[in-house]
Amino acid sequence: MSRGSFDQALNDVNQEIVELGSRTIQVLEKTRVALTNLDEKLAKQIYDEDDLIDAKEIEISEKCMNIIIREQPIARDLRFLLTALKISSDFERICDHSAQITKLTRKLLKHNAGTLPGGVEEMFNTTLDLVRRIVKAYATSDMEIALSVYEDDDRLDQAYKMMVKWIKSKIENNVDQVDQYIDYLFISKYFERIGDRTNSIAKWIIYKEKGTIRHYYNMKNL
Amino acid sequence: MKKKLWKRRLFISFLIPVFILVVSFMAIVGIISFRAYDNQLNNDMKSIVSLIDRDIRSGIVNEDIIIKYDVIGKISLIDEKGKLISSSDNAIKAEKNLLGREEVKEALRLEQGSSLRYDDIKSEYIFYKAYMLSNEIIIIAIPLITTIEMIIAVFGYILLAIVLTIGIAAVLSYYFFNRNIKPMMILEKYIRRTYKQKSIAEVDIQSLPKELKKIADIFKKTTKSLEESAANEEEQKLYLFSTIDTMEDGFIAIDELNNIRLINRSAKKIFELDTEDIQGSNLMVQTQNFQLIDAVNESEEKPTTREIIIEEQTYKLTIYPLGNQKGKLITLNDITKLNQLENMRKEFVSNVSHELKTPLTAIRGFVETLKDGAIEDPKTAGKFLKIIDIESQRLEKLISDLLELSSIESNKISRLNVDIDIKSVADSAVEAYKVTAAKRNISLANNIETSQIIKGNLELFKAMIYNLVSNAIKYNVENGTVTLTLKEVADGILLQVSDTGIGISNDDLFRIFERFYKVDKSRSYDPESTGLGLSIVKHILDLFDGDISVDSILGEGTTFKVYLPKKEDKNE
Repeated sequence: MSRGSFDQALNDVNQEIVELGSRTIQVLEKTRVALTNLDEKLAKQIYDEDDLIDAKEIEISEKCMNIIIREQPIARDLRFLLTALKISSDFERICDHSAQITKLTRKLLKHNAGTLPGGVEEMFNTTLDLVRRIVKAYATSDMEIALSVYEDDDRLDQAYKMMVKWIKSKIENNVDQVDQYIDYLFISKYFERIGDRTNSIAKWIIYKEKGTIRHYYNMKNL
Repeated sequence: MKKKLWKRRLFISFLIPVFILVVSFMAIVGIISFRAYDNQLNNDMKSIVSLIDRDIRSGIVNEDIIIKYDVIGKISLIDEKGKLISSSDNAIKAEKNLLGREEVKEALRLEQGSSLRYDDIKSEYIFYKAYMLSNEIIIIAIPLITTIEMIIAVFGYILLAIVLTIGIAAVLSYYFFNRNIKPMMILEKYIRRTYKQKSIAEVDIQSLPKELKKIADIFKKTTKSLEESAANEEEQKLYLFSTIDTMEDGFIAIDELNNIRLINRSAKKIFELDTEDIQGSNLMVQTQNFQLIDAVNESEEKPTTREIIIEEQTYKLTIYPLGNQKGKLITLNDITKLNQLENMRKEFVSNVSHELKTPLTAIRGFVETLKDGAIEDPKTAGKFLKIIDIESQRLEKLISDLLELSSIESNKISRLNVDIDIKSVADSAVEAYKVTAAKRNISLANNIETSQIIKGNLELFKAMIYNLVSNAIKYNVENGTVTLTLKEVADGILLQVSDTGIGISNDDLFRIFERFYKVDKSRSYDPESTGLGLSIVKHILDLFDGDISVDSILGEGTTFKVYLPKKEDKNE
């Protein structure tokens, strides 16, 4: 493999990761529609399409490993490939969480849930915003956006804690609606996990650019 | 570097023949002079021998004779038995067997002989020459050093001559070369500078010789025409690029690896790309839109079209693959508005058919019933005929409204420029609807105090005000009020028709000016309500270059604000 085709292979991987990220955003957008409208058909469709994302992730991983074995890249190229492996699996996990949320959408329907609580909707918006920003950060190698996502993840954690409190009080007062509030609890938990994934992606983007893995307390000193 | 090599090569190639010529000439001179010396030596020796021979014949043989001829070398004289007669050479004097000498042996046999031997005593090479006389042998010993010295002397001069000649030749040729090569260098500089600064260099080419000047002229002409065509091309390119850049549609050109080669402003705006240099970067990475990439990957040979949604806007995406898989052209056409219009048109057609069909069905139904015998019963017949009358009135009103609307829309009604007094129009509207309002105990008030004159079509203006007032009464509550007020605002007049009616919900507010849109669906069969009133108002206002807005609170009332610009400038 010449240098030119090696670069091309790296570009291909880069392109596919952005594509995966873009698809992840769409999955989340669809999930939001399914969840707010309690659309069972759409929920099932999203759940079925998750296999596609899994296949994509495996494809990217195989490409990365192939390049590593054949070319034995070093320094920046190696960092890029390691990051690609990590980030693609993070995106895949986000889609998995999305699929699980759609599963809960069907449950909510069964439990005769009404309109989505404002808190859940807000969490969804924050999550979607984080994922959108992290895809942009990756595509444009923008460290500032990555760092802001890393920091904003705290907001989601806080929102989750608030949700737990709120759900607890709701369950205490509406014993007959326990089922749907448990569903909401799970959904919020998945948002919180998606937030963690964006956090992880942010970390790897910074690793890709700077070559160091940092934790929060010294992240600001970059 | 290269020019020096060339110069040096030329210089050396000139010097080499000079060198060969000089050396071979000098060698010939050397050989000739050596031969001359050799001949001279032999002749000298022969004359010495003949002199000695003459002396011997005359009987004078002693030491002195020999010494007398001791000019070119030591001379010895021996008899044929090897006995030394006389010698100036001490080495020979000491020797016993003179006949053993090689030159003597040779001389005995061949009359003369020669030999070169190393002499241990003198520690030098000595050249012996022996000549046979009638009974005696003469040996002449010449030290080699003498000969070599002579040769060295000769060749020394030759060498000196060679060095001097070549030196002078070198200096001269260097000078001449430089002089002849200089124009070449000027030409080179001229071309090099022109290339570097991308325009004709200011180097004096007038001093060049004729042939080189021709080359320079041709070069100048070529450069100029190239410059012109390059400028032309640049202009063409700029023109083309500006055209593409200012296109309303998004345009992206990509290569076979999906890297962006060209992207216009609209496309950048659609994908919210920064204006920074994004040429050559990957389309997927830049747009982060997999729908786009899917479409690009699917269009391999034929142009493909599909609709994609970006940020809630619908775009018609067309991809044209270029030949030889060299890349693709992508255009994005915003069809959000077009889609909306298309939907509105569809809705309008279905609304019109529905609105027309309802009264017609009713009329036909009652006519059928009458035909079937109901006409015999005067009471029923009267009731039915009344309904048929109302329905046909409704139909008439609907059609006249539609006609009015379409004539306003198509600008068939001239903008008759008469003075319209808003106050008097409002007064007449209040007068006209007094009875209707009184039926539901609604108080109608015209709070316009001063006359305000605007110019335009009076009938249309009246129709507009009547429509608004009629609506205000229709959608009012019992004992409500309808108020008309007028305010002067910047550059125009603000006419307000307020009621204390049922109000309009926020969802309906932005749709009430659509044709056939009715807030209260239950009123659909009201013969007075065609759903076209506000649409007509809006279109009339367009003719006046005015605008209308609504404030409404559900259950409290609605205020229509009509803004009319003052168009004095236009009329003058």
